[in-house]
Amino acid sequence: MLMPRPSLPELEEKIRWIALLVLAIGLHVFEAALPSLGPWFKPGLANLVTLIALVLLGPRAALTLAIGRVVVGSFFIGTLFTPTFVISMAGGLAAAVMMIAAWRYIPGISLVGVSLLGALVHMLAQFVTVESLYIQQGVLYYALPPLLLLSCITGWINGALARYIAARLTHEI
Amino acid sequence: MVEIYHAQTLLATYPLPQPGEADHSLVVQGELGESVVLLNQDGVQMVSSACSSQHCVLSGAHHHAGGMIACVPNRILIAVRGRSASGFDAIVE
Repeated sequence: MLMPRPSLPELEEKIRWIALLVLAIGLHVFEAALPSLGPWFKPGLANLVTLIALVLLGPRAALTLAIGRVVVGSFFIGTLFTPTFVISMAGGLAAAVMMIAAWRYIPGISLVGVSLLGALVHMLAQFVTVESLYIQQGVLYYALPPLLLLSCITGWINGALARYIAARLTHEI
Repeated sequence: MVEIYHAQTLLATYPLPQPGEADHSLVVQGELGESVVLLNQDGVQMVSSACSSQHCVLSGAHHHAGGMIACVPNRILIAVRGRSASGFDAIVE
């Protein structure tokens, strides 16, 4: 019994998903190697790929991509199943879910808006994870507002980049 | 004041050394092992930690109220708190 051959468009979509996944993993590892502004802060370029996957391939692809890149990316950095991994996963998942919900249910929202919401929720989810699992001290939240402000800036930049990249990709493909 | 926590518990509270006062170093037991905290004229800093990422050590010295060093793998939090006794910044009539 031979499996029926998948159709060409189906294959094309799978290949695009894999290409985006590899890109996200690469960016995840690259960001870990960047000299950081602070231990809790990264530009969020890997999440940008989640957003592009959401626009080009849909919610399911975006969610699986977010999970896949955290697992494989952490494997390469050497943080698999450590607290760093748990925090990345919580942030990545929360941001993906938020971006999917915003993209689907807020009519007329731009990619910049979706990216901003994603960045804010990413930061919030990381704090909630740390506070509930590792350091149960409310004092922690005093560090949140300035980091949320930084999230707004990177979220905006990533949104603008995503808009440009998505426009280029949809016109050319 | 500097507060040092491990997970849910407050382990120690120390004032930051005033000019002329001696440095103070202490060893804290965390989830993975020992973290060494140093209080000196620059503020409070993590000198060494049992964690692998060492973000806490690299973040350097903190002396402003609101400054924080969090070592998530070792579950240690060092927070610099304001020392205002009344809870008010100022009272204006």
